[in-house]
Amino acid sequence: MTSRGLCLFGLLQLAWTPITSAQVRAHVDLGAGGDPVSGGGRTSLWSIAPALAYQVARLRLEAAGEYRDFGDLSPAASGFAAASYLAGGNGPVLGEIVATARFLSGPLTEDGVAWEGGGRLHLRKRQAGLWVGSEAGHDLHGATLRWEAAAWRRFGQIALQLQGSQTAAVDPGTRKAGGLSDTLAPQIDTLGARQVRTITDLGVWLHWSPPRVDLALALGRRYGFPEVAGGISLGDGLGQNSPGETATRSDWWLADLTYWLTPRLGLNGRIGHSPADPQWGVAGGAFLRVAVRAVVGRGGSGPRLAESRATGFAVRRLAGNPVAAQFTLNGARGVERVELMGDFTDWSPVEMQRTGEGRWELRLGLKPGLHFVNVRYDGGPWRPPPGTRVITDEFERLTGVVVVE
Amino acid sequence: MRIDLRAPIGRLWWAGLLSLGSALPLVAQDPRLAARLPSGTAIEVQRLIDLAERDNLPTDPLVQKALEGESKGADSARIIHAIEGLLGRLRAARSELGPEATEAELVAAAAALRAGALPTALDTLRSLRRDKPLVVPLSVLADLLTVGVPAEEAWRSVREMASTGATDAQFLALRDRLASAPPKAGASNLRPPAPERPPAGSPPGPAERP
Repeated sequence: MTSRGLCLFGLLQLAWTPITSAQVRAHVDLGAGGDPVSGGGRTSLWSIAPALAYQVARLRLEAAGEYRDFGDLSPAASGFAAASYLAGGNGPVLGEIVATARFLSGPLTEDGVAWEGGGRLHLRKRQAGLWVGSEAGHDLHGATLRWEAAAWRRFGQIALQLQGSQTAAVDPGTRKAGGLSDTLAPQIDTLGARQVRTITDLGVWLHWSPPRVDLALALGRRYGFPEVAGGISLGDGLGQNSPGETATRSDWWLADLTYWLTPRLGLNGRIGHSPADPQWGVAGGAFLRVAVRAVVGRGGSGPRLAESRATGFAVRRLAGNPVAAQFTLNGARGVERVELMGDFTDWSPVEMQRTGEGRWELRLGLKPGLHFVNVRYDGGPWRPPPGTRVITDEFERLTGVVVVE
Repeated sequence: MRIDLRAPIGRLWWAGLLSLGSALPLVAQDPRLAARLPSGTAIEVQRLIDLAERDNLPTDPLVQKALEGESKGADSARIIHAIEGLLGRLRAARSELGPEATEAELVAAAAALRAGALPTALDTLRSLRRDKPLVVPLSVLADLLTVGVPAEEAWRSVREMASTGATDAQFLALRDRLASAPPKAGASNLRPPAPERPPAGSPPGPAERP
């Protein structure tokens, strides 16, 4: 089988997997307003930004992009695709293999793709953890090397993350001037340290996700621009430095709020100040965007809403049949699919039938005794059914316990 | 008939015997394990199941634990560890409850032991309810311990109720009374959060369209 055939086979496997255990999330933002562009005081008029995430067991694939239209000006587009695989046991130490590719396209920037790959070492408990990682790659100008470290903690629906990273890359300022290649610049392997640009990012992120809201707040600082290309105006993204001056830091912040009107339709507002990014020749600056977020397929706030609304789960032995029972779940509105699995289904998902508004039922063979069970809504994460006793199982997941008389 | 092992046919016959021998463990394997687990894990799980069978313990709970681990993305070591733990608890339960204990009773007892019940509690319950099933009292004991009722209080309540010959419904009522507030299901996610990136701006200076 050729490598192309193997790839196709792998993709088919991935495509088939959602039927059993994969989680797929996809949404698209249709927005008004956007990022400013340096030199003209213009902002994008509208934008469209699709995003897709696919997770099965320990593999996670993610892709997102944004197309920004400036009306009578040329458009810009950016995006990324990322893959992550968790390796190791279910204990506190985990390894992660990651690979990311990014692209950026704009009229006066250097269109292109950058990629990086590497690994992270996680030390994590249920509600807190930290990691260190390193990634090597290639951007528009040459090799890059990045290390990062982070600590995170969950407080119920709130997640807090402190993160630092440092990226060493070939300094585009020494290779480019005024958007044109500087043919006088020596090759990288003959250059001194000043040709390597080191960017250090420090930031704190807060995520809050109650049933109807997704809120992200972030604040950070970017350090270290040894040299700025004269032809690229970095504006106030680097403080008040004029083009050509050395800058040392750039502050940035972000507030991103999505309010879910329905499980699949939300309003998204995004405001902040982005930092300069000399690797891509992006100036940074204030931005404001309002968007309608539509969930495609499963996902959105549906699983969370259904989980928060679900009021009761009952198991009742069927009269006249000592080894069969009816499962009933009430209040799980706003989702298209509810699945159940337990020690009576060989831990394979079985779809429940909708029998009314928010009411789902299923009849299965079930012996009297103690049973373990999980449910999930629209392909979301497996949860203990509402109202059941909850244990942390041997695999560090929460599982519901029911007693059938 | 004498088989000459030096002859090609004889060697073939001998190789066939060897292949059959190596295939025997697979033949005896639970088909659910073979279908869902990596072959090495399935063989090790089957070995533990064979041990359980030899000790007259129910094997389906062990199969279910393996399948549960697989469906929740656990790796082989974790699955094996979980089954070894469950096997140990089933053995302890059998030892305390006696050879007449049903599979459901053993599963409930194993859950109670995992929740923190003492093995001697099983023996006491057995003697208090000699002719009645223990599934519900053991499940209620496991429940109470799981939701955080102090072990002493949980055991005292269950023991007192068992000594009065309470019905299963009365045990369930006890559970509802003592453990009225179900625990909140906190976030349970194997995957740590992903790294964040600062917001990215737009490329500089869009040009006029021609």
